[in-house]
Amino acid sequence: MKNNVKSAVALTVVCVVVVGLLAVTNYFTAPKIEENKKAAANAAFVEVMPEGEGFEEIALPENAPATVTNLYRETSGQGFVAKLVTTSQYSSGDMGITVGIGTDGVIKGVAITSYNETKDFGEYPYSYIGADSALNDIDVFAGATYSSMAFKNAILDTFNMLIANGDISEGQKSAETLMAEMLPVIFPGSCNASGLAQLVEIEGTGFTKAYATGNDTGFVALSDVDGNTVVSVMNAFGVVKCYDLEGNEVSGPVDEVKSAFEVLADKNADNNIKNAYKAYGDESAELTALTDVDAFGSVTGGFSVTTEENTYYIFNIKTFGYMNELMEMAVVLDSEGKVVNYRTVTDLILHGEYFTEHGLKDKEAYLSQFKEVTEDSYSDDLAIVTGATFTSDAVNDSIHSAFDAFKAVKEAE
Amino acid sequence: MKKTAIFLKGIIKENPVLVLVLGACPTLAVTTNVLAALYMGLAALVVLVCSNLCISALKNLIGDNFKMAANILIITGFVSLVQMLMGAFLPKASDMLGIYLTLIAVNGVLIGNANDIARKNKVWDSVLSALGTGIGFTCGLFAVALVREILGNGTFAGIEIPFLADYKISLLNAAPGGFLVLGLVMALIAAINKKPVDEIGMSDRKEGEANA
Repeated sequence: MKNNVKSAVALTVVCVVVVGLLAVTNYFTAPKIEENKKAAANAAFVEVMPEGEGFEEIALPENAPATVTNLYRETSGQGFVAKLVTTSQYSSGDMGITVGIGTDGVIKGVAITSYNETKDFGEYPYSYIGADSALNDIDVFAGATYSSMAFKNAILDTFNMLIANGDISEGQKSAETLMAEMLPVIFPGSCNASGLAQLVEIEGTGFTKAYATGNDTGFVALSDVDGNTVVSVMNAFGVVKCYDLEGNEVSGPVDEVKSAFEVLADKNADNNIKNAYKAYGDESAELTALTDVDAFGSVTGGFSVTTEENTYYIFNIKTFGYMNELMEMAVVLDSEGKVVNYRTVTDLILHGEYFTEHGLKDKEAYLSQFKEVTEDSYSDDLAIVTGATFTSDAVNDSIHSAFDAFKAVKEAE
Repeated sequence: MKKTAIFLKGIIKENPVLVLVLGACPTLAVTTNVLAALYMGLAALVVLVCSNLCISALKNLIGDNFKMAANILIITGFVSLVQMLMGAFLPKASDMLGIYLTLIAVNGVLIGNANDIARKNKVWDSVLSALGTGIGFTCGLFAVALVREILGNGTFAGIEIPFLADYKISLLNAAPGGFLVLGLVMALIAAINKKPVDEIGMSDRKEGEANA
């Protein structure tokens, strides 16, 4: 009995000590454990909003685009995290994106949560960190693939949703950004099939910025005229046009642009002549270089040949193909605008297996389809090959560019 | 018994995992990854040493009628303590072990040690024995985990091993594979000891003593 009492007392004491010890430990560890749990739950969000403290899901606004699947608010009011799902024409799989946008309208972080085609995508998404809805700091001239277009559009969808909701304000677009947006309209020959201008910055005295197109189709310059920014474009035939930042044609430094870039444009002359002869097929013919052709397609030069029976027009063309690789062609048209010859200078089968895998077994047969076509009889379906879209888009572009240039020549006559 | 013998007994001759086959539940659960096995072993080691120390120190104050209550109270107390500390300072390890960390409280290694060793030996001997048993438990888990993770997952501590990663034996990651590896490692230990497992395990124990 005495022993039992002793044991019971001892057990009670042990109990109190254990409870006390646990209480003290809990007092010190509980906040830390809570913090760890929160950190684990927030890990996915913190990746795109490093300063974020907590995140709660909020209802998608009515104007939410289909791309945005979930929207979260940072609980201390730092901004928003959106989960996006988009598809690109290029990949069979969906692209999952998580983006964090601060209340200041700036992207805090980006994560690609799922995507099959990362090989040509690389670090591109991370270049968006720090950009606002204007996407000024993004290298708009790079990222040519469908993947990056899909990515960019998904990000813009998110921005537009938040702006329309009054959650963030719109970013101020820089002159370069506005210019890049304009170029697919005013100078399609400077852009790839995705509508992204492919420019190389060059020295240009007297201009704010000067660029050569990546495919030798001409030049683009930004200049300051009485406090207004003017975008000037010059095509391969020396035609210069000037626009304001809203895309309206204005008078501008036409002569300055012409004299600054004419010299540079000449470097293609020899190459153009050589390829024009090959396309025409008669080395003894007398080629006359075409000038002042008002066409802003992918034409890098043009010649006319007059024979006893007909007058032929030969256009040198360079377009952007798969992975922005340059594809060079020459198209010969007769005076009626009928294609007499379509010749590829760079091998069309740049990515051979890819092209042939998709039903294009015979390159000669493919190219011979374009013989005898006119602008009226031509249809895009002739050139476009499903599954080889980059290459066949470039072919399609080259034919349209030739027709456009031909039309411009005829109008000038 | 010599001090070194007391210490070494738990590591080799009476290894809780490979000889006594105590605590087989966590052994199978956490041995798909060597890191988890190490964390589990170390957590158990800490609880084992601390609770053996307390139980042994209090053995004269607490009578046999109260021993189970006291033992469980002390063991669960230390388990909770370790759990809190790991949750706060080793959150990754805590996540890795999950429920098995809590289950140390009912691990046969500890219950057995509390009853058989701590209640019957001097404090210092109990601690030594706990240290040996804890290290033996850790080594046992580690040995099984080593085989399972390297061959079953092609990794070591989560780091991919070039050639093996392409030829995983995924069965080893599942429970049957766990039994298989445990059995093979036990056989190896028996071969080294040159005695069947149950014979070595029982040799120093009195008949009727619980194996928990």
